[in-house]
Amino acid sequence: MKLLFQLSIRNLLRNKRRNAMLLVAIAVAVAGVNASNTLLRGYQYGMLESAINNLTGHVKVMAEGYVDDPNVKHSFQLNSEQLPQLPVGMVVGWADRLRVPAVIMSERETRGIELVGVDPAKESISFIGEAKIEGEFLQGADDGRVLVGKELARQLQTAVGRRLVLIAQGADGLNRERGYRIAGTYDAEGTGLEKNYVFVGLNSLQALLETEAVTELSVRVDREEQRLPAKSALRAAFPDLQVKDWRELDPQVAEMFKFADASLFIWFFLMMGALTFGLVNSLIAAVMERVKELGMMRALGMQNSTVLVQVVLESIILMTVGVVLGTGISLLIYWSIADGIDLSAYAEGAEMVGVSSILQPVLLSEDVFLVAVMSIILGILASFYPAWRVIKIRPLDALRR
Amino acid sequence: MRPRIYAAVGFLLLTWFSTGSVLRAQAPVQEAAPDLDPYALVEKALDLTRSRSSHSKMSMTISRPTWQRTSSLVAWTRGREDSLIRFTAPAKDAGNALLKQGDRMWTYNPKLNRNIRLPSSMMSQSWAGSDFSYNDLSRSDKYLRHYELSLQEVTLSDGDARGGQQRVFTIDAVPKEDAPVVWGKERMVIREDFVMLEVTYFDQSMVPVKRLVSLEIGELGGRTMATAMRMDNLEEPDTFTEVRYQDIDFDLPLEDRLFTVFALQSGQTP
Amino acid sequence: MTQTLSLPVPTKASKGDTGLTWRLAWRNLWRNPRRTWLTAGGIAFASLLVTLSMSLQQGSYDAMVSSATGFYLGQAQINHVLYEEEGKLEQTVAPADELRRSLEQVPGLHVAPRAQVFALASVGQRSFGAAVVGVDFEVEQKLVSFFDRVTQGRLPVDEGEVLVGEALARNLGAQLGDELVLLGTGKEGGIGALALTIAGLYDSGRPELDRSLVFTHLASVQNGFGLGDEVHAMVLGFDEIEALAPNLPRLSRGLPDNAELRTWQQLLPEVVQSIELDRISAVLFYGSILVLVTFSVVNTFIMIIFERTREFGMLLALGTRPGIIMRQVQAEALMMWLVGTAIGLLLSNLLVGWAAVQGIPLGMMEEMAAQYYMPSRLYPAISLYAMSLAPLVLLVGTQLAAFFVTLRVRRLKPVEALRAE
Repeated sequence: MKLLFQLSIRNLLRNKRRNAMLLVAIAVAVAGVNASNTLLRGYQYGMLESAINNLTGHVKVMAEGYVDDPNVKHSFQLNSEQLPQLPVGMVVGWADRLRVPAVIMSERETRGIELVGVDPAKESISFIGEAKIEGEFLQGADDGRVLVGKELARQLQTAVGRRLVLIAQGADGLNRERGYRIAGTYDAEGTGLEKNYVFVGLNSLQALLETEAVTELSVRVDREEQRLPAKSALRAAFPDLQVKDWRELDPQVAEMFKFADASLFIWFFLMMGALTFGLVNSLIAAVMERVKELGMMRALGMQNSTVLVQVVLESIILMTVGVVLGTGISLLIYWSIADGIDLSAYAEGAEMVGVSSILQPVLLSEDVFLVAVMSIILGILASFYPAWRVIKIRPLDALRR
Repeated sequence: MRPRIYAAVGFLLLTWFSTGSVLRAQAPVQEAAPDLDPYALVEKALDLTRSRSSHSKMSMTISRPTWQRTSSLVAWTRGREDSLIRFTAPAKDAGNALLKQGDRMWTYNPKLNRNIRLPSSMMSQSWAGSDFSYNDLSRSDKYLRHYELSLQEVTLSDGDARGGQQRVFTIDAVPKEDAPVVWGKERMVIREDFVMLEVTYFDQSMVPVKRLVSLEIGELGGRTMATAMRMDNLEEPDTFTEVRYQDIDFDLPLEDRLFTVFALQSGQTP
Repeated sequence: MTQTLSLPVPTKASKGDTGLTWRLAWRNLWRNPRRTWLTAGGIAFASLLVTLSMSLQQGSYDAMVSSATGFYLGQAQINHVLYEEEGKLEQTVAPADELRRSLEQVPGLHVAPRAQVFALASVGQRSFGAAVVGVDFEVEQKLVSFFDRVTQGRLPVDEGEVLVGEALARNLGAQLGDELVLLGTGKEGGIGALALTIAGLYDSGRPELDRSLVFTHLASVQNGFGLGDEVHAMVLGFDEIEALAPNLPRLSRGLPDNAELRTWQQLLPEVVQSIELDRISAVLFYGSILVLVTFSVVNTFIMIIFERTREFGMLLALGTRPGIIMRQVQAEALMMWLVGTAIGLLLSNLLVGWAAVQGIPLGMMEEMAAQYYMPSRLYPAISLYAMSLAPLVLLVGTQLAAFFVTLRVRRLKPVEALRAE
């Protein structure tokens, strides 16, 4: 085997120019695929993050009827004992919230919004936990101040520290109104969220609406696949309530998510397809040059299978070096764009397709590995034809050439 | 849609202006002097504009840079909670009415022959295109609960017909921390005889947004009251609403069923 | 060993015969059919892929724009200059009738007037804030697909009827046949009121619209709220959206002083942007494919040069100028490109032609498609640009590839070359 290996390397080195070119082509193809994969994954996961961060979480528990009519009467009581025991590390966090439609008024403007009573400590699982805040974040579930989106504050012509009046329907169906100071404004990089959500301390909102219930429990898991066991556990723990995962709550994003996976495959095959023509060409040429030599070796007793192996080995080595180079280049590319690509010039468009205005590329080792392995397999397959061609030639004819 | 939010002391204040005929007749100006407790002062000013009931006729002029519109109205009030306002002219608006019953408001339109309950979210909308909002018209003295009052200064008014001068008190009403009031501050100027001369509404950076001013003070229905008032939009030029009383009667007997939704629709008048 | 020459021997006779270059190039190609086929195959693959994708891509953009403009906002709108920012009732476009008639002179243009008033909508005891929009239903249906989304009942036939969104109807607890009352402020103060019968319910797929927009005849709104011959928007749409751009100057000229014309690019910036984003990513995609194929061409020519080194050496020794050799190789590159592109374009045109008739169904992505303004079937655009860009890029690429590889020939020392294998 070692001999074959040495033989292959020697052959490769015989045609430095041609093989160098081929190496470059392979490296470019692999780098191209990997680099665009990181962007595609970035888009896919960006979409997922947006959907989950948008107060959905991976799994959500709600009362019956809340989805159609988000009224405080469709709420439920939550004690911490009710939470199911889930394996350590599966659940990244959970947040209970009281979310109702409300009217918000400033001195000059009125708007309809969604008022969300939260416990700020738990909101690291949603967008508000990571949003840039001007002013102050809410200090606790008792905080009787509000957090308002930057765009909404602009529309209301108000600012941090000022008071707004909120009107919402209480548990008895009657309206309640109260003044709330703006603790801070948040920048969610997308005016849709900012215009819609106003956050307040959970206990404070419960006091206003005279209820101790919440309207939703949102759970975030560590890896997306864990939503299924989490969902079953929650369904068992809350038999009277509706438990849905993000794919059921946001079917459009779920579709796009799957679509992105398919895109990765299609893209890989197209790129590799383009590469294959040149690859096969090269391999055949390499083999045909050595017809005489191989013929002699076969005449001297070398098995056909050995010839096959040697040709394939050559291809494997070539591919592997190319893959390694290409992967290296793609890592470099990844690190140079790892901070994210700024799409803020396309903010509305980005919002429409569901990503935030910074596209963060995602490098998955599974992807890189898969690309490498599949490329090498491709190299192997591409070398079968040339090898077979050469074996077909009778050694005697080969020698005569 | 740009609603203007004016939480003025509006119509109820207008209808309830009075110095209290009994008090007036019996006590000289000095004895009607209020304590320096601003709460008592404002409450008395509000109280004195109220009576057990009232019935008034007035005209309202809405003024804008490019147009002006005058209509005539009649109104009834009872206690602090109930009131009914109806347009009598021009023909296009005649018959339109507004009923306040405690916390709730209904509006009636004769063309539709329908009562519509006003949802809370609409309360900040302008009423009939004027500079008064439904909120303004529904304000009751429960609002005093929501404010901290402080006396800012005391001045003397110009001499009146009889040469007497009265003390004039300027009081700042700052909404409490969680009061359902959008304003930063309301500054009230109240005369010694409890006539409200002026109310200015400030936003939360203390920029004045609108001002209710008593243009004329005279005798009507046996009381000294503001007979003409103007609500000025301070942020737009030539934008204001003026209300003038033609006539007013206090403490007349009014039937309970006047202040019902049924009466609103059937156009009953006592 | 016999060897046919790959080049014309420079004799007096052959000097003027340019056809000879091509014939020889062609013959040289087929000296190694497998290599030629593989290289041409790569070129065919790339041109097929890129031209097909570009056609589909352009088709999808066209579809998105058509859908987006045909949903509700139209291809362009005429509004009062302050209306977009402030949305006040008195910010109207007038005289509406006259303007409409003069606009309708433009061939292929449909003009739909709309008047919109914010009002309190009430059914029975329940009431909600809503916007009542007065429209001309007949013209609207030529312009937008919004009014095709009636789920119950029908469109209002007279001024006493109204079309209500399902979400709003649900909130109001209203059904077909119920009376909807709309109360608001008229243009110059005063009360504006309408009582209308609910003739139909619609579901636009966008709850923010369903919850707040109700539609009735234009005259109802104008009369009910003290508007004269005025509207808040003139919505414009050509039968063919391509007619919009060339007609813009003409449309802008006839406008009243305080009105402005906004095109769909200004009304729907998100559509413009998402198309841009997609274009950028497409460029990366196409670029990569074309680069890879060019590499394979480079590879091929490296092999060609290597293989014919001896022959070139001999020719150089005989006095052929290097330039002639290079030209010959370039000609071969051109032929290879021709073969590849011909096949690629043939297949591509067949597929595009087929898809243009059939359409490509988007399948399960249909609901999602509606949200992103896409129709249910995708049609490719027939575009010279889409069909020619890739072949041209490949032409340049292959010529450059051949050129740089063949540069070596200049440095060939004939004696060494002859000794080569």
